[in-house]
Amino acid sequence: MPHVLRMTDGTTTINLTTTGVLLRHYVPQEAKRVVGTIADYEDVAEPIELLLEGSGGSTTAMQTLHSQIKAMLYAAELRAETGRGPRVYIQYQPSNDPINWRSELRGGAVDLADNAMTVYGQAKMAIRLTITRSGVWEAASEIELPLASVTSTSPATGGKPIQNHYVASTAGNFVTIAHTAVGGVIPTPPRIVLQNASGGTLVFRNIYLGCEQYANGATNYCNMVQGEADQAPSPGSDVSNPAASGGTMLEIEFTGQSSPRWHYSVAAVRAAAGRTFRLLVRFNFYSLVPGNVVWVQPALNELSGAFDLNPYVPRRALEALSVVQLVDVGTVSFGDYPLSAGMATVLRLFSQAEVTVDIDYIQPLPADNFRRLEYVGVGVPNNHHIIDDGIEGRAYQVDGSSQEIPVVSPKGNPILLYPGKVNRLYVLSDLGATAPIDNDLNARVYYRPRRLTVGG
Amino acid sequence: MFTAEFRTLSNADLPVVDGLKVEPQWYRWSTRGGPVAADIKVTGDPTRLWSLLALLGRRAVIFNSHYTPVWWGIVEEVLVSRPTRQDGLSLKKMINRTKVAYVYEQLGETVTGETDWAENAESIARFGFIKESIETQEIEATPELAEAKRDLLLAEQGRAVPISGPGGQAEASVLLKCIGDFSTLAWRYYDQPIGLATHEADEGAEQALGVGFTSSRVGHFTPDKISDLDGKFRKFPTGRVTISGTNFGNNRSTTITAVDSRKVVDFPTAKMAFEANDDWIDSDDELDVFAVGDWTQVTDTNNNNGFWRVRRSGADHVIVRGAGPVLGEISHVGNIRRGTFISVSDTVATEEPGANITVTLHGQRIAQAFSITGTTGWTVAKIELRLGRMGMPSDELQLDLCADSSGSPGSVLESVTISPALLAEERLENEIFAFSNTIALNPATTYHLRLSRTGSNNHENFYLVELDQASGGVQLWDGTAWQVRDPVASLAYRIEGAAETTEQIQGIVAACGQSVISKSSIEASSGIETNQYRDGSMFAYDEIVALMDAGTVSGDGLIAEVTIENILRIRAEPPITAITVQQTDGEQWLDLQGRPLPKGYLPVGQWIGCDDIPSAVAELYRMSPKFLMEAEYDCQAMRIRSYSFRGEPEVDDILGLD
Repeated sequence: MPHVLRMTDGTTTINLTTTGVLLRHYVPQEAKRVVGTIADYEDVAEPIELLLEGSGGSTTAMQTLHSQIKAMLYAAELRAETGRGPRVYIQYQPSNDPINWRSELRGGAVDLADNAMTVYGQAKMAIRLTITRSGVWEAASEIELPLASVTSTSPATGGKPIQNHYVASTAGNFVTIAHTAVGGVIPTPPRIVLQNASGGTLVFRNIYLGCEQYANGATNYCNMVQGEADQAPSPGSDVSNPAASGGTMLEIEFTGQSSPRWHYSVAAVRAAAGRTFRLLVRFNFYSLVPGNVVWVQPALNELSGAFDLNPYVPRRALEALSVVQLVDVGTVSFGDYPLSAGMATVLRLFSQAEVTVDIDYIQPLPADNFRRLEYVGVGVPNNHHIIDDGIEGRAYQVDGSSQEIPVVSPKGNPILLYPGKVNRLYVLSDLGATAPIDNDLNARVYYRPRRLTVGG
Repeated sequence: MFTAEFRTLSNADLPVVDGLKVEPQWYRWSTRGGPVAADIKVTGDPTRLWSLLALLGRRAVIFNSHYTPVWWGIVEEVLVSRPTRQDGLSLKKMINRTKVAYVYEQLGETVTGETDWAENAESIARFGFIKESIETQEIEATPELAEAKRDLLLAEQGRAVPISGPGGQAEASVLLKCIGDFSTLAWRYYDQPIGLATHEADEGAEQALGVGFTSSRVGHFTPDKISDLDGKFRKFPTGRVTISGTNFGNNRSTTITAVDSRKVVDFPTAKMAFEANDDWIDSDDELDVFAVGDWTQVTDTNNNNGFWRVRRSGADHVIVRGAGPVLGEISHVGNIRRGTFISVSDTVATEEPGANITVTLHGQRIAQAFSITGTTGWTVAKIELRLGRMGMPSDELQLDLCADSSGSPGSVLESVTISPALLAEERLENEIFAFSNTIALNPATTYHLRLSRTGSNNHENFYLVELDQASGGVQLWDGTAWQVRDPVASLAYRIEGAAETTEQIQGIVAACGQSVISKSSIEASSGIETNQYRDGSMFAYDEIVALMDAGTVSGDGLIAEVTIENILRIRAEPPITAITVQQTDGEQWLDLQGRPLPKGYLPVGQWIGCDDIPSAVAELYRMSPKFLMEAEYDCQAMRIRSYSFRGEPEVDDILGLD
C-alpha cells in the first residue's frame, strides 16, 4: 500500500496522493513540547511538494484543485484564529501503517514551483505547500477502550458501572484500562462519556475526574481511604451511618485543632515520589456555628511524627452557610524519595468553636491529571449523558435527541491517558451540598492514539 | 501553564467564550490582604474579545498547572487593545454612592456641612457592591450647589467609567487588571457610632470642686460681706455658697458676687495709735490696707484686743466698731490681722467672728447626666475631662460612673481616681480616667458622671473642672442636696468604649465587606483594646491597616489574607524559628526537601532563610531569616520576579516618589 496523504474538513476531502496529484516530497517533522506542559506541543511548519495534473489534460481541473487546496488552508487558518467553521486536518497513512493519522491544520501557503508555468499548458503544475499544523498526530478514528470496574471486572467496551465511592468488591469510583490498551507514543486526551445510571435525574454541581497510572498490578497513593481507617494517635470515634461509604465514618468533636491521620504503605508512598495529589474529602457532616469557620489543611507526616512536610498549602474553609459534603481540600506534595518509608496523610482541622466533623472518605487524585466539570444545567435525566471530550476540547450534556447542551464548564486541563500504562480513571460527583454515595454512573472511554511523527 | 477562570460574586461560573486564550501575566501577594493585584491577558478572535467587558467587577481566579488556585480577586479594569488603540472600562474612578462636603460664609460665620448620601441604584444592582466617595468642594459652595455637584458626580461616574488611549498591541488582546478582595475595603467608609458619648465645651467655664472650710474666725458685715480673718476667701471662686453654723441667722445659701483677693495683713500696732472711742491713727499714712467692711482682730494690746470691723477707711485714720469702744493706747507689741472677704448676693446680719462657721462652695460634687445613642450598648473604657487644680490637694479626684436615681446620681457602677499631681495648676488640661471596660452602657438609659474629692474640702487646695455654659445639665452638690448650677452649664466630657483591635477588624469586615468579603476569621486576638468609634471619614481599608499595624500585645505582627472562600483571615506572624523556605543566591526558592517551591506559590508572610549567609553574620545583622512582606510571580517566566522583605525600603521610597 502506498502512502496516503489527504486534507479534509470532514465534509470535503482532498486526496494528495491519488489521481491528479503526485506527492513528490513530504516528511513530517517532530514538534517541541511546550515548556511547563505535559503533552502540549508547539505547532509545526513544514513543506509538501506536489505536482498537480489536470484530469484529461484539463488546465481547468488543475486550477480547480489548486483553488480547493488554497480554500481549505484558508478555512484552517480562520478556524485556528477565530474558532469558526469545522476543524481542518491533514491525514497521513504511511505504507502498511494500520492507522490513518491526522493532525489539525492551522493554515498554510501555496507557492508555485520555480518552473511551474513551463508545463502549465500540459495541465501540470508543481506547487509547494507550506503548512502549519498541530504538533501531534492522532488516529483519525476514535477507538473505544475496554474498561473494567470494581463491580464488573472483565475488561470490555460498552460501558462499565461506577459508584460514587469505593468499598472493596462492592463499589468503586473508577474504571481501569489495561496497560496494553492505550496505544501511541505520547499521552492523549480521551472522550469520556458518563451516563446517569442512578435511576433518577441528577442535578450535578461538580464532577471530578482524575487519572492515575499504575505499574501493572501495583497499588499507589490514589486509593480511596475510609475515614474510619484512621490510625493512632488519631482522634475521634467510628460512627455508623448508612449514608456513608462502607456504612461507617470517623466522627471528631473538637475545639482548637484536631489532626486525624491515615497511614500509607511504602509502596503507595514510593509511587507518589516527587508528585503532587489533590485530596477530595467527603465530610458527611460538620457543625455550623455562627461566626465560626472550620478550616482544613492537608499535611504529610512521618508515620510516627508530627512535623508537617507539606506546609505550602493554604487552609481551606468549609462552607459557612451549609454543609458541603465533597470538598477539594488542597494538595499534598511528596519529596522525590523513591525509597521512601511509609507516611501519614493528616487532615489538620481548626475551629475556634466546639464542632463535630464527620469524615467519610479521602480520595487523592493526581494534581497533574485532574479535571473538574462544573455543571450548570437543570439536571441529567436517568440514562442521559455528560461528555467530557478532551480530544475536541469540549464538554456538554447530551439530551434524549442526541443534541449537545453546553451546560458543562470544564476546569483544568483535559484528562490524559498514558500509553503502555495501566490507566485508572476516577470519577466523583456531587449535587452541590450533597455527594450521595449512590450517584451511580456508567462510564465509556474513547481515545485516539497520539504520536509526534508518522512513519518513524 | 497558568490559567484563569471567572465567576460572579455569588460564585456562579462565567465561562470565557470558546476560542479565547486566557493567559495570566503576573500576580502579587502581600501580608496586607493576601492576593492584591494581577494582570490577565486574553487573546483570540477580536470580535469575541469585546464580550470580556462583562467581566468587569467579577471574580477572577488564577490556577497553576496543578489546577491549584494561586491568586483570586476582582477584575477592576478591562482594556481591549488593537494595533492602534485601546478602549475599555474601569472601576477605578467609578463612584456609585457619594456625598459632598461644603463650606460657605453666612452672616460672617463659616458654615460647614455635608449633603446626604445619594447613590446610583442601577450601578449597585449591576455590580453587587457599593463604591463610595466623600467629595470635598474646593470652592465655597452652598448646600444646594453641593447637592448639584453630588448628582453630577453620580451621573458622570456612577457607572463603569470608559477609558481609552492610543497604542495597543499588534495582536488584538484584552488586558484584565485585577485587584485583591482586600483592596475593595477601600470602596466603603467605615462609620461606627458605638463607643463614644461626648459633649464639647462651646462656651467654656471653670467650676471649682471641693472648696470650703470651717473656721471660728469668720465674720459677717451687713449688708453683704463675709470675712475670714485668715484669708481663706482669697482664692475662693465665685458661685453659690452655703453658710452654716452662724449665730445671727446668717445660715443660708447665697451667691458670691465678688471675691477679695488681697493678701492677709498683719499690721503692727507699734506703727499706730488707738484713740477713743473708735479711731485708729497712723502718722505714716499706712492704714489704707484696711477697707470698709473688713473684719479685723487686734491681739497683744493692753486694752483693745478683740474683733473690730472697719466702718470708714483712710491712710491716716480708720474708724472701727467693735464689741465696745476703742480705748486710747500705744502698743508696741500688738498686731491687727485683716483677712479677706467675699461679697454675696444676700443681705447678711453683722456677726462678729467666734462661731464655728462652715463655708461650702456648691460643687462639693459635680454631676452630669448622659445617655448613649444608637441601639447597641457598649462598655466604658475611659472618660476624658478637662481638669486642673488650685494649690496641691492632698487627696485624689474621684470620678464615679453612676446609675440614675430620679434624675440624680444613684448607685455607683465604677469609680476611678487620679492623683492631683497629674493635673495642671490653675489651668485646664485633658485628663483621662481609665475604666475597666466592663461596665455596660445601654441605650435609652440615663447615667451620671459624678466628680468628688476623696478628702475634705479645702479653701486653697481644690480641683477645677471645665463646663460648657452653652448648655445645661450639670448639678452641684451643696452639702445636702443636688442643685442645678446657676448659670446652667454642662460638663465637658468624652466617654469612650474600647474593643480589641482584632474584634474591631471583624466589625469592619461585617460592615464593609459587602458581597466581596463574606466574613472574617480571627485566629490571633491582638490583646490590644482601642476605641471602636469611627466617624465615617476613613475607608474601611485604612481603618483595618491601622489596627493591624498595632500588632498584638505580645509584640507580634498580624497578617491579613482574604481566602478564596472570601474570608478575611487574621493571624499572627509565625515565629522566627519557623523557617520552611530557603532562598538561594541563585534566586531559587526551595522547600523543606530542597526542591523548588510549587509553581506559583508565593511564601508571603513567612520567614525565609538565606543559608549561604554565614550564620553569625546572619544573626548579628538580621540578614537571615527575613520576613517576606510582599512578592510578585511572573506567570510567563514561571518564577518569583520581585519581592520585598520587612524593613527593606520600597523602590518608590528610594526614588522619593509618593
